[in-house]
Amino acid sequence: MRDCLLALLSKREILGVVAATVDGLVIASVGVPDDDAERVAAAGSAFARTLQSDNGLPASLPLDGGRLVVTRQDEVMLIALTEPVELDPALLGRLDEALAAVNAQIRSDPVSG
Amino acid sequence: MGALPLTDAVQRAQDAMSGGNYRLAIETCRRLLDQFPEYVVAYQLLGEAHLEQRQADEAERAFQEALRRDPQNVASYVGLGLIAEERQDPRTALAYMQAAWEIDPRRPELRNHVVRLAPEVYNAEGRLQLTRAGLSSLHSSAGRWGRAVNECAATLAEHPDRVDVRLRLAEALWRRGEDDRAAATCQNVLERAPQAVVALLILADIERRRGNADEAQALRDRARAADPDGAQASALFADGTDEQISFFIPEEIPQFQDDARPVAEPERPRIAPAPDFTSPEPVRTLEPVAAPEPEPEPEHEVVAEVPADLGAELSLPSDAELESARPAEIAPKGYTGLLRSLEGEGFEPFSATDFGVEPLAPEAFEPTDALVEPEVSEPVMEEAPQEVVAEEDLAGMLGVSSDTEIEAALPPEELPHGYTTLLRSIEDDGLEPFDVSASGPTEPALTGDEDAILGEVPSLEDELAVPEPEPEPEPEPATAPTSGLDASEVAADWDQIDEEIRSAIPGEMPRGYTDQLRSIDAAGVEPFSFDDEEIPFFQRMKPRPQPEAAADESPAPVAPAAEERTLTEADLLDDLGDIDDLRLLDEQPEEAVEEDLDLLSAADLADLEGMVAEPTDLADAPTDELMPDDPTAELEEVVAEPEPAAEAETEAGEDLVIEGLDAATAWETAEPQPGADILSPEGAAERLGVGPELFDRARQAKEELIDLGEISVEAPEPEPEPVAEEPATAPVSEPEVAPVASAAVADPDSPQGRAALAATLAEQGEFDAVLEQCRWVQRHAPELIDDIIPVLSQLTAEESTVAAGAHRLLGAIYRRRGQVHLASNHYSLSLSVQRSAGGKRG
Repeated sequence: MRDCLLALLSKREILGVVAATVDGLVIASVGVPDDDAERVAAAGSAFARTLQSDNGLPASLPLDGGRLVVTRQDEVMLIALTEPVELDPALLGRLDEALAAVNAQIRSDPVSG
Repeated sequence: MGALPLTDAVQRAQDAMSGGNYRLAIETCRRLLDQFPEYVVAYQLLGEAHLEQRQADEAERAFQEALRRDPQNVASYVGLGLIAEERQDPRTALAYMQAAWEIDPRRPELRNHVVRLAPEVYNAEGRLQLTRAGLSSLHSSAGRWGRAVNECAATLAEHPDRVDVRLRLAEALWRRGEDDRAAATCQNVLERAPQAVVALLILADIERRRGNADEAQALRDRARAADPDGAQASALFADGTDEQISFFIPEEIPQFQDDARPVAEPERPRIAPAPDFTSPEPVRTLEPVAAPEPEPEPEHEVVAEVPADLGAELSLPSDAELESARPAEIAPKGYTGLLRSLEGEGFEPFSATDFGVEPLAPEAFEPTDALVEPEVSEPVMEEAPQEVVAEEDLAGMLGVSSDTEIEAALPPEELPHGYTTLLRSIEDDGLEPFDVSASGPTEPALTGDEDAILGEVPSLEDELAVPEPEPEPEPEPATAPTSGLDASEVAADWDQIDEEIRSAIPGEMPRGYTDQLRSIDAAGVEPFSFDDEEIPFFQRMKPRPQPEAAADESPAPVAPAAEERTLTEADLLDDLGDIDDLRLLDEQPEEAVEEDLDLLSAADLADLEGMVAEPTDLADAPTDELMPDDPTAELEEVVAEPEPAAEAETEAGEDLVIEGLDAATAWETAEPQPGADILSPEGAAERLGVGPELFDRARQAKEELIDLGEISVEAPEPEPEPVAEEPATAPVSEPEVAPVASAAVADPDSPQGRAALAATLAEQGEFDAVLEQCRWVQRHAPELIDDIIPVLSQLTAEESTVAAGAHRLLGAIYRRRGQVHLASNHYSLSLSVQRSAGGKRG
């Protein structure tokens, strides 16, 4: 799972990634100090609850200093901290792919996550 | 023996260590130090060899000597850490290991030492923290000298005794060209470590450039005393100017006069050597701990006396020889029997009288008050027995089991099977099985003695400090009731009891966190509650009603779907509660709860590492200040802060722009329930502290991950080359430098581009340019060093100064990796190549 998140972090625009449950429980994070990961997960949770669909495409929230991009699938969401730049749709697609991989990994092997 | 290059002698010591011949390694290092008394590598190897010999005091002294000359010597810090660990001093061990890791944070084995020791010192809170000292090393190795200076200065403000950090600061200042500050810092280092090679070299270089040739030479000579092969100088001036190289790098490797008698030592004998009964001194199996001089006297060493005609090497009999020496019939058992069996072969068991030693009275073997903890070897060596000692005593002397003990320890012919037969065998020994009817259905009353014993053990309730535990229900008996059984039947048929015991064992443990809690409940222990007095934060949380049917086996209610809920401030409070209040997990589907908990437990520490903590102060053991603050503290403030309802209303939906591929998912389209208080995600993020500072911390964390080599940022897509300009008949086999070079030029910070360019240039024969690219990669992208090593190796085949440069660079690479002998070899080769190139030019 960590490798999956690290692959996202290798994108220039992405500063940090947090995988969390929709309730805001941090599953894994890279590029974000752990206490910050809790904040990001909580903020992502608040944001994700506002999305109408369970499996919404990535939505981004512009904030001071960067963007919070959230994508959600079932009970798991992926929150990316990005630079305050226009995001490439392909990058958002990568987020979705990564989330699907994370979700599959959780379903198949919950212990090693 | 004749003369050989110093690096060969080092190699010999390392080979001896690799082969397990630590005494030879120690001997070689000592002879090296006889001729080069300041040689830091010799001290380091000496310490390692002593450490392998479990001679902690000698090893400690050697490592300390190495650190006086090379305050950034990672191996010495590790060695000192291991010594402290062996002395059961985990705090000091952690301090040393952390210092080693801070010097070279990229080495996973150093990181593992810290990860292993931190929980030992700080219990569950012990976690790996990248300190500012470690950060300064990362910046230094990446050539970010300004940031390295800042981190070093910040570290030294709190830990002024960290010589290694001060030395790093000096180098960073020197690399930045701040000669005055660098010189002052070097002087400061030299006050604490007068032979610190790098400080002497930097100072010498500054003096040389200032025109103080004599002063520079004196400093350089001092440095060369501790660095005679120029290994550290080569690393410092790996990309130095010709003047620096000619001034600081020795023209040739000093010769080591190996005129000492070779040590005829077996390599790690597989059996303990026999004690030397002829020695008038008591034989000591350990080096004297408090001896000021580490060198043991030869006559004190435990060395088997080898007759001259057997040659210098002590040869042990092979398995085949031992087998052939065994008598045809069944050999007598035991050590004495073995000796007796050898009598017929012309071997006589030794007798102390053969050596002219006076007998020792049998009472000498009895423990006395004066010999509370008798060491086996010492009293025996003081006065050896004259007569043939009893077999038991001989076995005691030799530390082996006697025949009687061995016979007694042998298992019986046939082991009884099963629990019942075991009980019967106990019965045969005169022990009666317990009588069920005598005990009765009620618990036997405790005697006063038992109460006293139980009173010493803190109860689980006491440990958990649960206030006023409710009266515990009588737990269900775990085994089938025995009151209805006839005692005579029980005694008559133990197999039936076996069956009953088996039937009473639960077939499967309950699964999941909820079941675990319930099973604890059933045992009368209350699960952990955040409503306890000790946790005021959670007391202030809005209490959530507990499901009444907690013990019910029906599935727990599923949390409502997200879209069904309208986000209110109260909901946000609940969300925050969800993060920490594990009680609420009972409300989720059990499977999901299990997954969450497993994931949380497996959310490996590496994922959750804090980034910056306090560096280690070696003067003091690590303190609790290293531990991170409670991350919930700020969240607590956010939650506790009363929020005016009006403000929340004004924030609803205002200034909110949500971008995404699907506009239907945006906040704007969410239909708030009429009259509900809404807190916008932006507001929530702001209140949670997700702002510019958090983004900055994320940027910094990402940069550190790049430095650690865990990720490499993808280079932007290179602009496509204009195809029309390409000659249609360009040879396919010719390496295309232009696209690679243009990619590297387009993004000069792309390590992959640089490494690829180096490889391509090497194929083109542009060796100077290759070296330049490799130097950049070595400094800025250590994760790609494996890619450039083959390229550099290719360059070493060239007979030119390029090859010398490649060897120097390889030496620097291997030295940083701690592979000292490889580094020495490359430094040595660089000098040889340089000499030969100079000779040809001459």
